[in-house]
Amino acid sequence: MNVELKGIGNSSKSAISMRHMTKKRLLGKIAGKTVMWCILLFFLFYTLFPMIWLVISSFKTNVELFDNPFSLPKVWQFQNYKNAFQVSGLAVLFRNSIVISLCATAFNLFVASMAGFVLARQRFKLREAIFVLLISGILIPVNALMVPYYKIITQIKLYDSIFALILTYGAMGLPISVFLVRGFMKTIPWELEESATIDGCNFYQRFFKIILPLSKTGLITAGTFQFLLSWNEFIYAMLLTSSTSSRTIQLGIRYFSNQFTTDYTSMYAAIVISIIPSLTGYVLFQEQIISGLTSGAVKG
Amino acid sequence: MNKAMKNNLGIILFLTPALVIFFVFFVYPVFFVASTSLVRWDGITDITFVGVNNYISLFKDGTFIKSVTNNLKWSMSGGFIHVPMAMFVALLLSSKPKGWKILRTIYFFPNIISIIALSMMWMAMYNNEYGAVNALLRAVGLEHLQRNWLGDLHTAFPALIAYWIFYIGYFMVIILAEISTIPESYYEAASIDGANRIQQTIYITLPMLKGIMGTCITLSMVSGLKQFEQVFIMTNGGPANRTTLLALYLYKQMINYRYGLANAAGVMLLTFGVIVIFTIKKIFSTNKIEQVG
Amino acid sequence: MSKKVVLGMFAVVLVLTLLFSLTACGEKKVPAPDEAKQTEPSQKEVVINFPSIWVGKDSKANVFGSFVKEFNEKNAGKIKVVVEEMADYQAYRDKMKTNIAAGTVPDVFSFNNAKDSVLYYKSGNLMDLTPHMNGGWKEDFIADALKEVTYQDKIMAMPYEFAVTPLMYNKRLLDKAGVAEFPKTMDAFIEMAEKLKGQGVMAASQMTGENGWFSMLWYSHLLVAHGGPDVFDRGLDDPAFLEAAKSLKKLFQYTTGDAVGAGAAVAGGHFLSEKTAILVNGPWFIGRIEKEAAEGMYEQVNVAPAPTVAGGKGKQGYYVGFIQSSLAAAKQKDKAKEDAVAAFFKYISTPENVKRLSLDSGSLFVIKFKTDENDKMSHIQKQMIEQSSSAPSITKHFNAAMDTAVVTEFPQALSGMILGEFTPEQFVEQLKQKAAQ
Repeated sequence: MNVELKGIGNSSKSAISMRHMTKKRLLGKIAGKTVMWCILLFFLFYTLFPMIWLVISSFKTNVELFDNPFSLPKVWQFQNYKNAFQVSGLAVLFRNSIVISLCATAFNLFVASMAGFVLARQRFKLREAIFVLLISGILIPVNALMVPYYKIITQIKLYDSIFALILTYGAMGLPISVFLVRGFMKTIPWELEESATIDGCNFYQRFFKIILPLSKTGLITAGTFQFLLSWNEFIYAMLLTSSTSSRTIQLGIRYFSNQFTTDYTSMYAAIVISIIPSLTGYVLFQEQIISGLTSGAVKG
Repeated sequence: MNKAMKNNLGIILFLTPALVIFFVFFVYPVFFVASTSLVRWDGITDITFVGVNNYISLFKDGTFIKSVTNNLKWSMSGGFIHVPMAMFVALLLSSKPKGWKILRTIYFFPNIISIIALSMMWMAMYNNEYGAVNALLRAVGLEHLQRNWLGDLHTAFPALIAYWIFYIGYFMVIILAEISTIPESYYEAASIDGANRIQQTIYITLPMLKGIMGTCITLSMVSGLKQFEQVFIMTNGGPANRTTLLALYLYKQMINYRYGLANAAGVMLLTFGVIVIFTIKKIFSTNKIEQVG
Repeated sequence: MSKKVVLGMFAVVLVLTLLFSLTACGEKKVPAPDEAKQTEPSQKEVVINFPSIWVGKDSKANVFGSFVKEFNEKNAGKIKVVVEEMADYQAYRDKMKTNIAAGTVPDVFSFNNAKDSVLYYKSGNLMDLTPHMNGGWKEDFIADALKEVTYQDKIMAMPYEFAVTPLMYNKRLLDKAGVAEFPKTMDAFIEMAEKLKGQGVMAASQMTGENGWFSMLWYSHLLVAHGGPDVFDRGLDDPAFLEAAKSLKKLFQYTTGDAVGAGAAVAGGHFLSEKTAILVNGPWFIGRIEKEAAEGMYEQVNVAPAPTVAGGKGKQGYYVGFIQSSLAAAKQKDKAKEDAVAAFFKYISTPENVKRLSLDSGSLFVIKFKTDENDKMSHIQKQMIEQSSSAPSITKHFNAAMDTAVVTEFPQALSGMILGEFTPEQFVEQLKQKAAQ
């Protein structure tokens, strides 16, 4: 706090001298706005472009796509979407992806928030050691673990079930979630928990009634990460399942990639279909949930 | 924190699930990987113990060394260009210009699109024959700069980094969420003192963001060490191994039936990661933001 | 939770339900695997799990799918083959490798024949097919094919798909450049390439992205041209590897500017859109030429053997051909299951069935079958069969003959050589290093 106050004190002096140059300031302000909008629009274009390209490409033929990737299709190929809907068991794959991603996220956040709570707000021996150990898992390159993961899942008899993927995804994202959730929980003022203790709240009540609601920003950040991981993961979805009844939409997308040729444009159509749920979910999340939660949060 | 708040049973109960999962899905697999890094194993026939021979071959292999330096460059770009840029844009959006909510949502889009589609698009962008990058250069009269971006020894790796570095959506959303938790009263006090927006940003917002910046830089650098899929799709490490990365190197060794070598590379990747995490922790802890990270 | 949030959640659910009702039509097409589990306890049915890549949009998917269906119907109550669909070959290969490394071999799986396939034969995990083959089944196969899968006098897998990869050329582009006859020697080839270049067309599609497939096939042809059909027996020290590298480097002067780094889709696309005149690839590409190539181009595509080189050991008309894939089975303790697997293998390799599969998919097989005039076959495939049966030699390609580590390094060493990072000598050296690692 000291640092900030000093800074403001210094600059307020210069602010006074600036009053004599209001015209200059106005011009400066306009220039600043222009620069800001240039930057914002650049990023808007840059991030929106892939989405537009993907949608347009999904209506082209493969030859068109590789002959001139940035043209509009001569004839809009609705056939690609027809193809995408013909992926065997598309509805089942969709349902599985939704169930697996939601369950893995819930499971992951549940475990991570309990661990995060203890690691952020209790003092005990080995706390730092356990924390460092847990977050070191962030570093592990998961594609190096194919053999051991396959062994584990077959040994606990979960091979070819959606639980195999729920468990694996939930576990894969655990270190990052613990890292994020603990970070947010650490910033909640001690006074809140102390006064709750005085009011007679026990350990569990404090967790559920005070800390958890106040770390929603952290939970949503971690949850978004976890959901996207579960939704987009491909290698383990392929490795740990063998029938349509337990597979995810990512395998449906690969339906168009064969040994000798890949039907890219139908694949793009399948990708467009596959991102609709996460996109819808995300847009609604952004507009309603994040803004609603953060504005009410009390943080130090 | 006072004694009444401590609960030993609670600590054990709350930590057990995480620790059990961690042991099953991280400690055991890493132990498996580390122990097979000391053997010669094709994944099919018998295993022979070779001691540290795999590690020696790694350091003799120019491609491995190139992978390490590439990964470091990738991590550095993530930590020192990507995240600060995300912060900058988050600060711009925090002044709530018109349509900022829509912008915030759209900036996140590339994280939702599948990596295959994004990579394929950028391969097309960089293509020598019909790529949009060359077309753009032609349009502004810079014909001499046209090239086969991903098939050029000097531009392939920079081109790979250049395209994702502007997809700042993920970290921007995290930082923006953090900014929105800074109490309005701080700014009110500052404006009464006569501080303008830039001053408010420098003296109030930035100091409050140190913690989350540490988190974001760590995450970005670590994910820089683990990059695989986009490089696998876009260049497969080429040309002449100029764009190879550790995870790709590791994968290729598995394909080559050299599990021992692959796992030795995995152990090295882990070691570099630990070094990176601790370095960042050190740097940021001197700034007194122990709180996060 | 505020009203808004609840509303938001509700909207998500609504959108999802809507999506489901849209996609529900696909639901009935869920393939058999789930049913298999239900029937298991009631009867003593032998279940064979078969992770397969011949599914989805694969050219063999239709007919192969009906093989499985017919076989299951014929053996209803006794044997059930359950196909695990895995269209993506790379993912398939990785999963099979992981399964085997973890000690569980799938009942039946396919693999691309390569030098390292011998590891599977050596492992002792595979079923020995010799006793089954001996009852006359052997005679259905092309003689050399079984040699490829024999280890210590035991037949360890069933060779299946065969491929030749000659030069497919676009005749109307050659005509335009004033080339009347497809060149037989390298010098004539370069002359033709120059003429084509004058017309703004590049001679051949090349690529160094992915596994460098088209250029790898070119290199294989050039190796035979320089070193003769037994070039691979002599290993990387043979001077042919260097000479072929020099020739390949020359060919890169007559290809598209994006060849370094291009993948098969890009390089193949250039041929289909007539930016290049020649593509080296197998019969599976014929279907794409027919469906996707520039208008009127399909009829103009013809096939030729690769050119010879002055002083080289390869004879005019030499071909590159190889067993593309074989099927292997896990060693079984249960004799009934072993017999069931053998019965399935026999069923999918009867000459009649293979003929069906070949005519429908355009692929070639190592199982002999008779064709007659009425059989519909593309002119391109016909030329391939004619030329390969009169070829003085058929040699496998580089990727099938070398260690996997060398195969993985090939596109890297090649792009290095093309960009001037390595000399052709260093290119060969680079490959040797990988073989030794």
